[in-house]
Amino acid sequence: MTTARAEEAVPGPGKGSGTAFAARTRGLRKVYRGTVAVDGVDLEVPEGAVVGMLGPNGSGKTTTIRMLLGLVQPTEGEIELLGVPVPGELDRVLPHVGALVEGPGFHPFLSGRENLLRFAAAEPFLAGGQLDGAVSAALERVGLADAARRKYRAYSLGMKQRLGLASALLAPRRLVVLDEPTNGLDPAGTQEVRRIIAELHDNGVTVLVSSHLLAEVEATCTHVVVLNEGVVVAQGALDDLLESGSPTLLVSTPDGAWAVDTLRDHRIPARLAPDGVRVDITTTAPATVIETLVRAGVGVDEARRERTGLEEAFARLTHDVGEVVGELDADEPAVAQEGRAR
Amino acid sequence: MRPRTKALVAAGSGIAAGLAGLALTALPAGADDDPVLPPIDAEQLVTSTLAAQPPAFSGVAEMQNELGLPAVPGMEALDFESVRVFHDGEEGARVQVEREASELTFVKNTDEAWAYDSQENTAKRLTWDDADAAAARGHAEGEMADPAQAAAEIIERLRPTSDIFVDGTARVADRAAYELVLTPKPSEKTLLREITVAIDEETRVPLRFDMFANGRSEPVLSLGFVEFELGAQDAELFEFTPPEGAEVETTEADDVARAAGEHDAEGAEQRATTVGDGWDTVVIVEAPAAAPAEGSAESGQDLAAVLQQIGEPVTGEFGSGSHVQIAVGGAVITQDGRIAAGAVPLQVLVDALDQE
Amino acid sequence: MTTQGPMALPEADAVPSGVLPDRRRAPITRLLRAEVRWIFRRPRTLAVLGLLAALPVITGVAVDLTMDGQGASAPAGPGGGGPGGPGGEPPIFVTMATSAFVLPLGSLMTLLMLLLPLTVAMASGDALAGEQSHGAMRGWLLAPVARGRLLVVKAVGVLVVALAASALVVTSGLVTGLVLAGTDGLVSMSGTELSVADVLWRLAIAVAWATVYLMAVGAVALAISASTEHPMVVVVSVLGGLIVSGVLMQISALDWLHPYLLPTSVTSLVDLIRDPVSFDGLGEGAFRALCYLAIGMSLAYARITTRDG
Repeated sequence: MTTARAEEAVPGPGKGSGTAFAARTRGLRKVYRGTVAVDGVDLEVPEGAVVGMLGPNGSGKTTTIRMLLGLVQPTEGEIELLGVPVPGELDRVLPHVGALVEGPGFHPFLSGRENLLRFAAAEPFLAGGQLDGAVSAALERVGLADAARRKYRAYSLGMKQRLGLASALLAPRRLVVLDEPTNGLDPAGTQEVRRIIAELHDNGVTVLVSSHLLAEVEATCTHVVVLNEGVVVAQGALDDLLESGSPTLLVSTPDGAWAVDTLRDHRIPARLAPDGVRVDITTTAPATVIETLVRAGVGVDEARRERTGLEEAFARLTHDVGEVVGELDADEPAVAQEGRAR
Repeated sequence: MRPRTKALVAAGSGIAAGLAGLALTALPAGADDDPVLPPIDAEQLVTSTLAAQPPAFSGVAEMQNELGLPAVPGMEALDFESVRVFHDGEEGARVQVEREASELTFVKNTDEAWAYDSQENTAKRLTWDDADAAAARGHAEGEMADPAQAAAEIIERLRPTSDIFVDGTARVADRAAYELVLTPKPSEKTLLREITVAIDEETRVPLRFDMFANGRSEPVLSLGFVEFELGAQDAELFEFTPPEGAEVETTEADDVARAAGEHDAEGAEQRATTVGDGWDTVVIVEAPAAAPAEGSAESGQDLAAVLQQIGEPVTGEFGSGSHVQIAVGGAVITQDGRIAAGAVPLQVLVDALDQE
Repeated sequence: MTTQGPMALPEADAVPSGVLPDRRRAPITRLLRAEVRWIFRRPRTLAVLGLLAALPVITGVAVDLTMDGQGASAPAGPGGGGPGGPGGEPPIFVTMATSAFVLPLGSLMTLLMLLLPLTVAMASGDALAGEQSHGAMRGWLLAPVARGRLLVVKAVGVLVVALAASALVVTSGLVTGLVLAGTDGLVSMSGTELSVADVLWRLAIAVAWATVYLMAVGAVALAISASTEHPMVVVVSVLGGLIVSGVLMQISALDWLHPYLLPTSVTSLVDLIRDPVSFDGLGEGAFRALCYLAIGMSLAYARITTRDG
């Protein structure tokens, strides 16, 4: 590994707080033949963080990653990778960035090892004598050492994915970008990827990992960026997002229906749930809710802020935004396709 | 976007350079202005040309043939791409008539001459006792392909009946040349309009020979150098050893002379007659029914038969026959086996046959 | 790197540039070696090269057998209407068909009409479109290999294929000729006997010339290859181009167009059988090929630098 070490284990995403960013974008926008794939994305990937990029298929995750890595020219916006502008100084940054984008890309008639040796030859910071060792180490790291000499065509989907991961880890990196790395992996393979991400994190390597699986992100990431229809709908530290993503007060009351009616009369959104009355406190302070109920004579046994899973937050965010931005009439599959065609 | 602009510029300039290069190979390099040379009159030019010794040179000649010759067996020799000529300035000469996938090679030195045909893999050898250049020159095939000799002889022959004048200058094979023009005197009843010979200013070597017919602006026959370089030539070029397996046929110059004498004796005086002189000369010969002189009798008869087939019927006091017309002349083949030919219209041929 | 100050400032320019190590590029020889190894590990490449090596042997043996059948009396000069090689009866095949001089040159010329250009087109198709279709192009771009540099590496790879293919055809023809006829029949079309050294020198020129010619085809193919992700599209396009050129070359009314057509040059290889060798046609052909090379490579460059990875 290089000397890169994060100042803090988990730097906060706060603006202007002196935090360094491994990747950052301003007003990033990509239009494919009139279809907006990414729009106004201000992405912030703090140094040393593991950032999960979450969003349904076609939300612009892959397109954003491809722009970060210079594979695609942005229509508008600025990108900064490891402190230098991209694509202007792409050739200076990329040796320190490992990436697995849009699945593994290898030739079937070569063995896994031969495939990696080709790309190792192109690594600027590997000396000629180091190539063999680097390839062996990368294969070892992803658990492919035993299958190294088999033809790529004979690999299972999971092995192919792991070989792709290995090529991202051929040289010491400061940023590793993984696009859906657990695609096609069995649970054991998924665990392996999580372990590798954790290991990278421990070594101070920044990781940007995209996924449409919430559990994945919840299990591995320190930070989250939620994308929907090309727009960032939420981003921040995982904990913060979990908090802010659940502005619900769970009220235990002997008369739930009355409580709901009362709150609705006061224009406070609420609904009856099996475990009590759920009150949305996005616009209302919890104290106001209690006061309203007590004044109306509704008995309150207990009230607590509820911390829901990220899943609910994710579903809520993307769903709500989907409605708000509904006029866009986003053709999701089409955007996804466009994003994948080069 | 900058990379896009850069790419467009790169593509644009690369394509432009490539196309310009292609155009360069496609366009003939004849756009130069005519050179300015000291004035000379025709007399002086012809004399100095005839007097000049050919220098040592190598060159490439090409022929443009718009004669409209009928496809006739025995004419394949004219179907070539280019001719390479080497001359050592003395007795040695080498002419290579290049065809698409074969070659006719003529080599002449002080004491022998060779003609090699790679298509048939046959070599004909001609020897003579003393270095008699005239005998070697009699080797017609080689001579015809060498524009230097061909043009010189034609000028010599046509002087009495033609207007000869120098009409400016030209650049041929990147060399400065005078344009010597021969036109028939008005009294000549010929289809030819003019003959132009470009003569090198420095060496007096004829560089190009153009034949123009009435009513056409482009030459109907043009034989000329496209490359011409002075300089000593490798002596090996003028030696020839037939390859192993080649069929070799050796002839003594004396035999040739004797055969030619016989041919002259009965052929020129008995079988061939000429009517008229100069540009409108008509040659009348007996069809070579029993004349195994050069080719075989068969091919001679074939020729007559083919000509009769492709010609148009014509009748006159002489009887009837058929007329074959090309750009610069024509021939009448009569039923009774005579052939009248010349660079003249049909009527002159018929008149000649009637006169005979 | 984080000790180097605040990156959170909105101005990207405020970021100190000493943070990352200096630019470094992987040595190009290493890239070329990897590329060549990749090319010659591909089964398809090996199969086509094997076929190319076999064809002169087949031609030589077939002509030899036919000539034996014609009667042993005329081994070198079967005269009129000879047996001829497969697919046409060029006289050089007739007179000296199995010699160690004409067999390699004749094979090279015949194969230059179609099979060799298609071999190069295939290599070009695999070089860019093939990588793209397997998703392996990203591997190069992310390493990173600059796009212009990648094109150079790929073009050199195609050049190696062109050289290997032409050299293989000529070597195979030469060896077959030596086996069938020994050093007999090393004769130029002008009737001169050639020394073995002279023959080898001429064959070397033929290989070099064919390589330049094929590289022109390869450059155009690379331009197509940079615009598609289907290697077969490249091969089919080149095949179409060759067929169209061939048809246009048959139309004498279009002779003004012929100097612009690449295959116009191929027949000038015959000049190597003449003595002395005339380099005019070969020179012009090489120049024409270089023009095509310039056009093809600049189109490929334009496409590869603007294309999304």
